[in-house]
Amino acid sequence: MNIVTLIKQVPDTTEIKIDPKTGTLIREGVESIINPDDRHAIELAITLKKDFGGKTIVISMGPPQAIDAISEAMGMGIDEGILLTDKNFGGADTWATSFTLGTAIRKLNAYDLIICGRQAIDGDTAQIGPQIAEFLGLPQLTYVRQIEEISEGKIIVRRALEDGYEKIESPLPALITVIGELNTPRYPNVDLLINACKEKAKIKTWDAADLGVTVQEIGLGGSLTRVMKTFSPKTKRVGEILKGDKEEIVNQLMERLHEKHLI
Amino acid sequence: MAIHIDYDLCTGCKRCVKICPYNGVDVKDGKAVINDRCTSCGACIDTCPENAISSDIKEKQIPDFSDFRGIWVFAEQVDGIMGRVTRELLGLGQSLARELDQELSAVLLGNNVDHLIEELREYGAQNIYLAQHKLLSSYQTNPFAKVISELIIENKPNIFLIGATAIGRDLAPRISMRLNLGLTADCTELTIDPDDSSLLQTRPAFGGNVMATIKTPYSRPQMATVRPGVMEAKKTASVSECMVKNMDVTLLEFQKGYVYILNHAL
Repeated sequence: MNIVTLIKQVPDTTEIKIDPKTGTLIREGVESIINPDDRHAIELAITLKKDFGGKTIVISMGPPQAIDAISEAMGMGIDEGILLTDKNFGGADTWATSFTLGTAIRKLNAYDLIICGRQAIDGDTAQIGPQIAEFLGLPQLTYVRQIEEISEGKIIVRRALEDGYEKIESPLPALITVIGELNTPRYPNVDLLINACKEKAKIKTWDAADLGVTVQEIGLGGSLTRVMKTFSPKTKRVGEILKGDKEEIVNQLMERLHEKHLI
Repeated sequence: MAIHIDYDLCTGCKRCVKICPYNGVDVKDGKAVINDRCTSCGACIDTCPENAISSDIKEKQIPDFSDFRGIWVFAEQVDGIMGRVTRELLGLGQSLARELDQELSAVLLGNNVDHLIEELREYGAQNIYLAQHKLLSSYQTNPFAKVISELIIENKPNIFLIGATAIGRDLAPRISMRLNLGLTADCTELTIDPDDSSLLQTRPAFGGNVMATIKTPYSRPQMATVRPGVMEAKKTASVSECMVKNMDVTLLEFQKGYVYILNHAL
C-alpha cells in the first residue's frame, strides 16, 4: 500500500503569548514543530505500512527550514520525504497551497491513500485536505477518529460529528483527514532520525519549475483570499462569582451557559 | 512572492520582529532583514510604522462582479431538523442583505424537507433554492458539492455563507476548489467594507492568538464558513412570502461517493 502523508511545520501556538503592553505576539522561545494533527497522520501511515507493506512518503510545502519537519517524520519511520520549497510558493492561501501540494502528488506514480491532519494550528482552516481531494478527484473522509477496516481498495472509518460519529465505507484511493483521537504518535527513533538528517539526499526538494506550475497559480499570486490586516483579539476577561446555595448556583450557571450558546 | 524592506525607510524599531509568527525577520545593525524562515505571510507589512515593508506582488485586476447579487446561506439540516447554525446565518444574512440592498436566500438540500420552508421564511429567507433527491437524504460530499456548484454557476450569488460545522467544513472547501473561489474559514465577524461593498471576513488564527481580516477580491461568490454560536438568529415578520425555487436534480448512483454503514451513533 502506497501512502502519502502531508505535513506542515508550524510555530507552537500553544506556547505563544500576547505581550500585555504592546498587544503583539511574544514569539521568543516559540519553536517550530510538526503540526500536531499531522503527527497522528504520520503515525497512521507507519502503522498501515507495517500491516500492509508498501511505501510511505511525506510531503511538505514550506520555507527551507521545513526540512526539519520532514527529517523528523522520517525519524518516526516514514520512508521518503519531499520538500516543496520556492520563494514563489510564499504567501499562499489554502487554495494556492492545495494546488501546489496536489500538483506534487500528481507527479507520484500511484498511491492508495493520502493522509492529512485535520487542520494546522497556525492557519486553523481545515481546508487543505478537502481542497486537495477535489483537485485530485478523490473521495474525502474528514475528521476520521478511527479506522475500522482497511484493505486494498476499500476503507471503513468512523467520522467524528458534533455529537457522535458516522461509519462510512469508501473505495480507495481516497484522502482522509485525521483528528487526535485516532492514535498516539510515537517519538522519533534516534537511529532513524540520525539517518534522515545525514542522508538528506533521500529528501527531495522540488521548486516551482520542478512542478511545472506558473506564478499565477501559486503563492500569493495564486491566492484568492487576501489578508487585509491582523490584530490581537481584545481579551475582556471578566470573571463573575456566582452566589447562593448549591442549587441556585447550578441554575445560574446553566442559565449563563445557555445564554452563551455553550450548551 | 517575496517580502522587501526599504532600508532607507527602516528605523530598526523591531515591530516586524515582534509580530512575525515564524521568526522570519531580524534586526542587524539597526535595519530589519528578512531571513530564510519567512513564509511571506505578510503580517509584518501593515505593522511597519514607516511603511518600509512591501511585497513584490503585482496585484491582479479585480473583475467586474456587478452581476453577482444576493446573499446565500447554506441551510444545514440533519434528518429533517434544521441546524441551529442555519438560523444564526440567516440572522447575519438579514443584516448583510439590508446593507447591500440585495436579497437573502437559503440553499436547502435534502429529501422530504418541505416542512423546513416555513422555518426558513420565519428566520429571514426571502428565497429558497430547494433541491430534493433521495441521494441528498444525508449529507455527502460529492452530491452536495455537485448540486450547489451548479446552483452557484447558474444563479451567481454575491455572498455564500456556510456554518463551520463538521458538514460545513467538509463541504465548503470542496466547492471552493471546484469553482476556484476564495474561502475564509471559521469567521467570527462579517461586515461590509464601506469603500467597495465587499465582504470583510474576520476570523481567529494561531489558536486564537491573532485575528485576521480577510477579503476575497478575485472571485464570486465571496465564500465563508461561519463559527456556530456567534451570530444571532433573528425571527422576522418581514418576509411575507418566500419564493421557493424547486431545482431539477440529476444525480446518479455512482456519484454518491461513499456508503453509509451507520448514519449516526453516539
